[in-house]
Amino acid sequence: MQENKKVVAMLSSERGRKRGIPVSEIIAIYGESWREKLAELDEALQKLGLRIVAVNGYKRVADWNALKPSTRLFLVLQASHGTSTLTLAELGALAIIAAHIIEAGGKISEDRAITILRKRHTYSTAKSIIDSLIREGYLVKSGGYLEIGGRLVAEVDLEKFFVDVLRESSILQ
Amino acid sequence: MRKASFISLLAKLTGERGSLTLRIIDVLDQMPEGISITQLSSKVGSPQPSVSRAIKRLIEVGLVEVKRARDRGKSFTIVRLTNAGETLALILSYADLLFSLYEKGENPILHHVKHLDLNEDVEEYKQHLDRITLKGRFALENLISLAARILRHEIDPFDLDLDSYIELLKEYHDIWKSKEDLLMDAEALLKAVKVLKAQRERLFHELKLPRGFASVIEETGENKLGKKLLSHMSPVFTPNTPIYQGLAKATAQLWLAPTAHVPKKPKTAERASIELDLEDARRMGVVDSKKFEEMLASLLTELRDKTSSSPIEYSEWILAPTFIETVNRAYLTSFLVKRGLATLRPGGDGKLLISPGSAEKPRVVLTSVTYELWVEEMLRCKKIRK
Repeated sequence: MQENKKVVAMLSSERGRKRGIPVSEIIAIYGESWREKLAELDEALQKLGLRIVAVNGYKRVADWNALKPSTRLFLVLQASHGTSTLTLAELGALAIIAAHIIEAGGKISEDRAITILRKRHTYSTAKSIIDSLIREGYLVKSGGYLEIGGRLVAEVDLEKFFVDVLRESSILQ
Repeated sequence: MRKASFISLLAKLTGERGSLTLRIIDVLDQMPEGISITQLSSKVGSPQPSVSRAIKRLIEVGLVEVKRARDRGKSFTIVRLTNAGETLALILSYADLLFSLYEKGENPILHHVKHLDLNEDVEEYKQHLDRITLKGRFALENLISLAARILRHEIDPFDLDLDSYIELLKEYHDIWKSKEDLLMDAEALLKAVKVLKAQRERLFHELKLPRGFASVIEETGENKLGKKLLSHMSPVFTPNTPIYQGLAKATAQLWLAPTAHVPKKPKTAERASIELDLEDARRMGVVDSKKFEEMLASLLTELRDKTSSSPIEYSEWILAPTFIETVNRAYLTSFLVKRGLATLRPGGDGKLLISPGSAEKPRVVLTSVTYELWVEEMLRCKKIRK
């Protein structure tokens, strides 16, 4: 099953800052029975402590039958290991900026993001946090606007995360 | 003569793009008192050099004339249509109309023309048509600018009512005759498609979250949010993830048997050995020292529980349901041994035993955890359970 090796290599590859591959590339390798083959591969990977995550926009797709050619697939470690290349402050800032981006419909200007972080940090710290988040692929900068990067949607189920945070705050109690 | 023929004739006469010339004539026709070249170029929406070139050609063929004018003590040049130019403008306005009436009679686009007596009230009809065209252009320009703002993410995609947008495009579509108007119509349609796409994307990305949730999230402490986010993270796996490099290679060699889900043994590959100590891991930000100490403490407690009666076999101790967890346990155990919190010593049958506590004489024990060994160990455990 040479194709499996190829798919795993592709799933764990990095193309610049872009991680993950679209389903269309999987279809090109597996052909018509791609759904079954992908499900089999996922099952085998789970034994290695890995999992294939499918993301449509900001949303996770749990059902393999709901995958579309544009859906992006990522290979993630199955269990959270409580480690990250980001500091806690950067992670907190990331959560806040992501919430604002989602609420604004997909994008906010970099200046706005800096203004949001200025409530807690100096200008230079806020700028450096944003640069770090862009460098790590958690945010994407396009024409002066910040969007949610592929790495964030792959690593975190955003809907679940925000609902959890809101549940803990007073809004949903 | 059809309008298209006029455009090509004008292009031949002036050597310029027929569409630009037509637009210039249209604008000059609306300005009988004349207009400066700067104003003209802004009205036709083309750069001044192109407009000047076109005007020069029109002057040469006698359709446009130049006059000097004076305003507030300043002298400047204005251009206006000659008599021949005005006639041409009139013909341009009516060419299509006359032909369509003559040929079709019942043209629904221009049905209102039937009520006009062209011979007697040509001027009235011309003004009527101009009014409709101008109104249409104004409406379309507004729509295009609104759509452009949406595409620049300045306003919400749903601020534009696409149904009425399309209705408006339909209403004016049949009136457009000039190339510029048709291009503007096409641009408006293209913008409508892009706005529709933006609306679809907006719906697509819409998470089921209450309005104003961003401000609630913002109120939560940054560190608390950071910890929470960290607990929801499943790190993306790539071969460049330093601590998981061995696993990455094992994964890349994954070979699924067509009939069973048990992975075949990967081919032996030459692996570059990488040694990482805790300092390296910390420097790379892979491990958090506080978390690491917690993990060591919990592992030590587990070791003490399991070896309360007698030492256990090392391979059994590090074995976990997944290969990655096995590697992690071996990695953490090496720290327990290094700090003298656990001891490794040879047992019978070449087995290696582990127990808590420090060894009397420190010794170096080399162990290896490979994917092949892990699979073998897992299979052995399954057999024992059976």
